[in-house]
Amino acid sequence: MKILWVSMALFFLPTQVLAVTSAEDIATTIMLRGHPCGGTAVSQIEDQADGAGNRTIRATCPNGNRYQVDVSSEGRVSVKRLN
Amino acid sequence: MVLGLFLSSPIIPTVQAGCVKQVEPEANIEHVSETGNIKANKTDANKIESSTKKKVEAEPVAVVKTIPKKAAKTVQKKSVQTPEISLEQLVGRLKETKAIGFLTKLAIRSDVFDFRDTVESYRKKKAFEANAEMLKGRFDGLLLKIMTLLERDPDLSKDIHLARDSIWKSFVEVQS
Repeated sequence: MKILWVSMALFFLPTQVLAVTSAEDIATTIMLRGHPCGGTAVSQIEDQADGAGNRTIRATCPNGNRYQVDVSSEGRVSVKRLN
Repeated sequence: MVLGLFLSSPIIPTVQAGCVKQVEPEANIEHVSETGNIKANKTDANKIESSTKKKVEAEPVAVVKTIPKKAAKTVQKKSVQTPEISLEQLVGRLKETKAIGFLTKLAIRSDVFDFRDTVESYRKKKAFEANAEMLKGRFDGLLLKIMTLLERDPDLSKDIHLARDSIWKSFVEVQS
């Protein structure tokens, strides 16, 4: 019973730093590269990775703009608009 | 947290010193009231009251004279102690923080590398000194961007703000 109460208390304890969701992360990256997004979270996320370590993410912003975020194997991030 | 410990340590002695200075006159007042015969003579009591009032009025002058000197010293100590945040720690904390996502961290990293390359190119052209103000402005903008992104981790944001001079120096010194 005690374990249950302790686990419940830990569950409801407020964390100091709230984790960011991937939708918020992508939206922030798009805005950081100077593109308008119209909100703090994207939708319709498509994530693809090739064998060389490059990653391509496509997502739609709340304002209707669809973007492609390219992450190179070296960690360079670039954003381009699709529509 | 570490910064808080640094800041809290120099404040305590000054407060204690201030308390000591304020207690001393109160002891004198008690001494006067004990030695003076208040019940025996009203005029004496008035004199004692007036003498204590004078001493009470004199108190703030003594306190004002002593505290600012020590406060000034503590302010100087604070200004010296605040930049003692290692850059390695800050980078480690930036990597570990959950306030910003992985992609955003990569984007910031790219921006920092681009800025470093820009500084290096100006160094090679021997035009760094001439464009130092412009580069410092870009650096401040980059730092402001990072601090804005760290809205959910205010401690880290504050520490980066406090260490901005040492970060700028690291950019300048690496190339020299």
